[in-house]
Formats: sequence, structure tokens, C-alpha cells
Amino acid sequence: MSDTQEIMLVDAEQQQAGESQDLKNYVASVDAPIALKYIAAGRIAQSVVSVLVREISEQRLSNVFDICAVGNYLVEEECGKIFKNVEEKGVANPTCVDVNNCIWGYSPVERENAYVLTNGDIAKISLGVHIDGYSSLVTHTLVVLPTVPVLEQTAPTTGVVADVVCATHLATEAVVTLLGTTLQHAGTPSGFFGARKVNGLRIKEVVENVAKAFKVKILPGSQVRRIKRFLVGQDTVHEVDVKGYAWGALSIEEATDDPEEGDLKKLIDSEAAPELGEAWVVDLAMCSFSGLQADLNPRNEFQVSRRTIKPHRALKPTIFTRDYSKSLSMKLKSARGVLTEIDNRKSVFPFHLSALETEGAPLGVAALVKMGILSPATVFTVQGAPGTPVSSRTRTTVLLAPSVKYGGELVRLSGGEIAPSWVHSEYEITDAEILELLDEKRAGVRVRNIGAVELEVPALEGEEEDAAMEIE
Amino acid sequence: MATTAAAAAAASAAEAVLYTCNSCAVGFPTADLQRRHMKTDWHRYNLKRRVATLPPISAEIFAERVLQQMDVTRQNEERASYLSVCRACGNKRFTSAGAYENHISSARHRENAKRAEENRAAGGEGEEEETGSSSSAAAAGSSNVPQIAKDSLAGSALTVADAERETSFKALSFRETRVGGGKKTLRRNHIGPDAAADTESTVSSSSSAAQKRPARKPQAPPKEEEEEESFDAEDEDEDIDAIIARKLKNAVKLPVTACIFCSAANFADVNANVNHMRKDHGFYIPEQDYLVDLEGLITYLSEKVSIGNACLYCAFIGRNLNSVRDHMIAKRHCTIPYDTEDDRMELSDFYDFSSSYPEGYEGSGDDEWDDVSGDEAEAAEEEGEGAGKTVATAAATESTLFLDPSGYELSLPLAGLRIGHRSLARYYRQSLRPTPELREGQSTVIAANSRPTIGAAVTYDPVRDRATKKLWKDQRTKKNQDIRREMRYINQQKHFRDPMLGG
Repeated sequence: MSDTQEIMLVDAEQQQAGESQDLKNYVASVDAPIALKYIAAGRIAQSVVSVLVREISEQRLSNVFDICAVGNYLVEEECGKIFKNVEEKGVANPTCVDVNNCIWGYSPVERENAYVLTNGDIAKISLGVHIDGYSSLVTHTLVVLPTVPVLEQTAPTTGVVADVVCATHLATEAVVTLLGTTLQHAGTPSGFFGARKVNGLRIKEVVENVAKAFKVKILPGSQVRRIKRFLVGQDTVHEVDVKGYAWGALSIEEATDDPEEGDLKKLIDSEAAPELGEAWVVDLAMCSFSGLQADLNPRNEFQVSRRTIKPHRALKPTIFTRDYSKSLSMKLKSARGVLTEIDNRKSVFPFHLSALETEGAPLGVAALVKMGILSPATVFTVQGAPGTPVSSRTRTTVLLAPSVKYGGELVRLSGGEIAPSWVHSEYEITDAEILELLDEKRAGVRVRNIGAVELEVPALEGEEEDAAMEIE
Repeated sequence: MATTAAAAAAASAAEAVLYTCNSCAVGFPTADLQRRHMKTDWHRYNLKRRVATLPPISAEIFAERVLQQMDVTRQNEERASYLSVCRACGNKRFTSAGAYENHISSARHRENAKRAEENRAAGGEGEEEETGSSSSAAAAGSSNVPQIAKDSLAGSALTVADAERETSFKALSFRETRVGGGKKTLRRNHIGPDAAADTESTVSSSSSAAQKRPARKPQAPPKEEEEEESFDAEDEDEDIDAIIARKLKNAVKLPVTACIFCSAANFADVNANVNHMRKDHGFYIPEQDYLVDLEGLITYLSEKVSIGNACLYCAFIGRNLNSVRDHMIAKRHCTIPYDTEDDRMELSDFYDFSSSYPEGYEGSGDDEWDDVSGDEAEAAEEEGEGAGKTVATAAATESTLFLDPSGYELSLPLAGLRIGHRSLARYYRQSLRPTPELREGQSTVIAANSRPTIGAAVTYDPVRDRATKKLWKDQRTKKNQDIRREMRYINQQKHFRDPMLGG
């Protein structure tokens, strides 16, 4: 661990006080306070995800309801400890655990009917943290092997599961490095990788090459895009100047195969290059492919059709986002109460139904959804004609931070340093460019991973953890 | 031009007269001539006469009058540069040499001079008559005052005078304007208790002189007086004196316990009288809280009516007390005008608004007086504070009183009160929902959203609405038209008959 990395791992509170001289050197840039908030959010996200991964691997948490509850609790708890003068902070994305072919939005409200993880499941743990609107989103794919503790695992998981996990992980790493080439890096001039410019289309090419190598398909809704303060791609906000690339459309809800139909496609600018000081989210989801041509997107053979993604039949949405473009006065009392609570206490980010304290909140929420004031996050699953496909998803947030010392460095706010599950795919990447992006040197790009800190898990099952916060 | 028009009109009288002027009772052969006629002074004069329901005058008479009027103007100008004062006869002013010489030789002057001589001998103080010509400006001012005074008092006589006998049409318009300002001039002359006494003393001598020369004029009926008067400067001042004297002599002195508007009298006190006037005549005294001299106010008003024979509310001057009373009751003018600054200033002697001034008013100097802009003064006036002193109040306490730049809101120093203009009362009465304060995230998201906001700003645009409805209607009409057309032609197809079948 390098000395620079240690600086990054100083406790967020300490960072806020600005005591460390090295830290001062680091943050002596225009966006220093903003970078601090991003890093603080990233650290919390990292910490919570690693706690959850560990708890699941060590078989202490298996019920999805518990996982989500612990995740949300920890995020709120940790956010409460830092940046006391910042009002808006907390959950940027409620904890979801999507299992197997489920790809987005499963976060049950009842413990009784919630899914319990079993051997061989692919669980995608998603969460997001924001401090003053500066958010870090993370999704980690975990192959659950409850019977075998991770460290005693003797053989890797193989097969289709290994293919999708490998593909998403490697594609994400490659894209992260590619984004880093925007900054000053060894060899080629900044903004270029190889002889070509880095932009949304280049990212698309890299991702699709990885997917092709592992014979998996990209799911609609995957995106690599720039995020801004308070704007992380909520369904309710239609931004106009979004950089990056999105497969399908900006959101799964709006995704369509027909370019004429989906005007939103035009909203993302694939030509624009990433710039210093921006934060980007790399959100890639892939699934196994049955081989049926009809399941493919007619315009992009590396992407499955929108028709393969269907809302879950039984699961109702539990995550909602307020649509601030609509304001109507509601007749139902609980609806009015919910609306007031959201406007006063919740922010512009998605929130979980259980986070509402208003009496009769579900009823009010239903009324608000009907009026379009709340936008529900539908639980989506991938459906294939012969058999159920397996899906994997990796999401990571990076900050193209300006740095005095190095003229800019890529800070991987979340998603780095958490080891993927041990899998072994029979395929491998042969493309030299992508291999260069993935190797140890990372094509000369300086990458800093924000590490996790140890968190105290709330005593759900009578377990005691060490409360000490220590640097990893 | 007038003459040419008239000549043209006369020449074309025999021909078919197509265009006429009803005001001047002339005809014109062409529209152009008629149009030119409409621009002439003659036509305008006749139009004024027509408004006054008088018959039109011919172009020749009009030309004569114009010449006459030019003479008068010239005389006035000459007179304006001359001023002489006779001290013996109560500082009597003469604006022409002839009038002064006439006056010196008059019996009245001789008598006055003799009396003055005696007084001087008794008091040991000499007073000689002074004659001198002053600057034209001063002369103009001094010559104006008695003229207006005369006019206001002799207004009734002028009003009833037959306009046929008028000497010039300019005099007509002049009289109109002066009668309009009658109330104002009356006030300026101030027929208060003191002033009335003064006038009486000065006029008493003239009236006695008039009695000695009965042939001169006071007994002459108003019509002839008017006719004779014309613009002869020599007799003018004597006329005024005579009128004032007559007025004062005929005046019925009303006590404070007598009603101003009717013959009811002998009330127990002023309050009873005011009560009666309020109940029976709707007479309302404004700003009663600040009224300090009720008796003085009533005395002033009753003198205005009884001596000046002037209506309280409008510029009407009655012939006598009864006529002005009839006027006030018939027109419901039994009220004190209190709308304008002048009206308030007229009565300000009887009021004391000092109790309404904010604290510290006395302390602050008058330095800020000059800074008061028109708006501020106006706004302060709008607060209903009454007399012009309010303006001074607002100015003097400018530091504590703050007027909104728009001029519609005034902040008071007391407990941070704010006074709004009454024209905006409907907006102050609204109880609007407070605008929700957006948090940073919310405003960011709203600003970033490219979709049109629904529900927040659904506005009704009547123009667009009408356009839409018209479009629908047009479409409907078109559709119906098409259907009708189709129906008409649907059975017009020729019946097919096979020629082989014959018949």
C-alpha cells in the first residue's frame, strides 16, 4: 500500500477537519471540498458493501430483507457521523439484492416472504450513498456458496455463471482504466488511448469486445455515464447533457429497441470525452445467452432485446423516486402526508417504502404513483426462451480528480478493492488493447482505490463486532 | 378666411346648397369650403354660442367684435404699465391715468382727503397720496387681484347677463373660466370674520359716496350695469366696491346656532346645530378627532354661504342666501369638500394634527423638507392624514418612515407596521399558500429536468383557448359540409337502362 493511498484512507472526519498536511496537498485543487464529499460517500459505500459481502459469505446474513435492512441502516448511521453541517446526505440508492435472473430493484418490505439466499445463487448487491448530493453508487456481484466459506473454497465456480461474472468484472475494470486515460498518463497524450480518442463510443466498443469474448450479452439499461451532484440518472429526471454511452436507453423503464420510439437515446452524448473533475458511473449488466436469435437486439448483436426484460410477476415495486416535475394537490390524507414527508425529509434520490414514517404510507404511495408523482422502480427479470438466463451486474463510481502532485488521478470511489468471487471461465480475452487496460500497469493510469473501513453490524442475530474503526 | 367663407356661402346661396354648417347657419357648394369653414375662429365662436344655446352671429358682427377685442387688449396692455394708488381712499389702486384723474376730481375723494387731513392733524402723522408707475410685473399682479375679486362677487350678475349684450366673445370664455375658479378666488380673498370687517370698513365710505351720486350706478339693474361696464377701466373699481357693499348690506348674518342649509335656527348650541345638519342634510365634518375649533369652522362656513352666497361644494355663486341654499339642497352639496390639498388647506386653521405626528417629529429639522419627492408627498397624502402638514411629517421623519420604491407601501416606525395603498387592498386580503422552500437537491433536479413541468404551471390562455375552439368548430363545419355534399350526389347517378330492352 503506497503512501498516497494511505492519505486517501484517512478517516473522513479527519479529512473534513483538514488536519493532515498531505491531505492538504492533495485537496489543494479547485474541487477539493467536492472531492472530499465524493470520497466520504465512496468510503461509506465501500465499507457497507464489504460488510454485507462478508456477512453473506460467512453465512450470518441470508434473508434478503435482513441484508437490505442492514445495508440501509449502516448507510444512514455512517452518514450521520460525518459532515454534520450538511443537511442532505444518506441513501442515494436503497440496498437491493437481486438474485439470479433478477436484475434490478428487489428490496422486500416483509421478512416473511423475502427471498433467502441459497447455494449457487448470483446475488447482486446494490447500494448508493450521497453526501450533499455527491454520490457513490456501487453494485457487487457475489456468487453465494453458503456451504463453503470463501477462504476454504477449493475450486472456482465455472460454467455460465463464471462467464457472466468474469465478463462484467473485466469489462468494468477495462472501462475504468479507459476513463483514466483522460487524465495525464504514461505514454499516450491525455484523452487518448492507443491512437484513438476516448469517448462513449470507445467505451461501448471495449465493453462489447469483452462481452463477445465471454459469449455473454449486454443487458439494456447498462450505461457508462457522467454523474453530477444530485443527478445520478434517476428515472424522473430527463437530463439533456449526459456524456457516455447507454445500451438501450438511459433507464430500463424507457428502454426500447426502436430508435424512433426512444427519443431518450438522443439525450446521451456518445461523442463527448470525459474531462478532469468529472464523476462517472460504470454500470454494466450482462446475462448468459441462450442462442436464440430472437432474443437479440436487431441493431446490436451484443445486446439482448428489450423483450427479454420483464417485470417480475409477483414482486411489487418498493423503491420510489419523487418526480419533481409534477406537483398536484392530493385528496387522500396519507398521500398528502407521504408527499410532505418526501419533500421535507427525503431527497431527490430513490427511497425505500419502509423508510417512510407516515401512517398508511403504502396507500398514499399507491395514490401518488397513480398520479405519476412518484415513479416506482419495477423489479425486472431477464427471461429467455429456453431456460432462465443468468445475469451479473457491476457498478462502480470513479472520480477524475485533479491532483497537485500527479496532475490528476483516477479515484475509484466504490467498487475497487472488493475481490470478485472465485470463478473460472473457459473463455479468455485475446484483444491486446483490452489486455493492456487490464494488466497490472493499467496502461499507465494512476488509480486510487477507496478502501473500506470496518463497520459495526447491528445485532440482528446476536452477533458482536468490534466497534473500532480501523484503516484497512 | 372667415369672410371669404361667408362670401362664398352667400354667393352660392342661390345655387343648390349641398354642405351646410348648422352652427353658423351657412351653406357651402363644396365639401372643401365647408371643411375650411370648420377651422375658422368664427365657426368656433358660434359653436360656443350654440353650446350656451345662443343664436349664431354673422361673420360681419364677428369681425367687429374681434376688432373691439383687439382694442381692449391694447388698452389692457397700456393699463398694465400704469399704477397709481390713492392712500386717502383706503389705498385705492388705479391702473390708468384717466381713472386716477377722474378719481382725484371726484367728490368722494375730496371728502376722504379732507377726513384724512383731519386725522393726520389729530395723529400727527402725515400721509400723502402716492403715485408711481411700478414694474409691469407688479402692476399685472395688482391689477389682477381686484378683477378676480370683482368677478367672484359679481358672478351672479354675470351669469344671468344676457349674452346677446356681451361686448366680446373673448369675454365670454374668460368669464367662464373665472366662474369656474370662483371658489378658489373667494377663498383667497378670505371672507372670514376679520376680512369681512375690513371690507366693511373700506367699503362703507364708497357706499356713502355712491349714495351721494345715485346717477352713477349701484341702483342700476345688473343687466345694464353689465352692458355699461364693458371693459371701461374707469368705472370698474367703483362697481366692485358697490357690489361688495351691496352684498354686505344684504347679507344675513347667521349665528353659529343657525343651520347653514335651511331656515332652522335657535339651536341650543353648536353641537345641536351640527347634529341637525348631519341628520337632516347629511352634513359631515371630516377628521373630527383632530378638529379643535368647531365654532370657528361653522362660523366660517356659514359666512361663506350667507355673505359670499357661495356653495360649499362647487363653484356656484348664488344671487342671495336663499338661492344658494336651494342650490345646495337640490344638488346635495351640503358637504365640505375634502379631497384635494387645497380643500384641506382651506380648513387647516380649525384643525390640529400634531397629536398624530410620530414621536421625535419635533426634534428633526426641516432640512429634509427639500428632499421630498412628489411621490412621497402624494403617498403620505393618500394615508388620509389630512392637512398638508402630513407632507411635512413624512418629510421630517424620513429616517423612520420608509416608503417603498413603488410608492405603494409605507413602513411605520411603530412595531414595524406597514401600511399598504388602499388600491391594493384586494391583494393584501388574500391568504396565499406559502411557497414551498426548495432544498438544494430539489431545485437542482428541477433545473436539470428537460421535461415540461406538469401541474405546477398550468395556465389558462384565453387567446389560445379561443383559437383551439375555433379550430374544432372549423373542422366540424368542414366535416358536415363534406357529408352534405356527399349526400347530395349520392343519388345523382344516372339510372342505367339497357338500350337493347327498348322503351
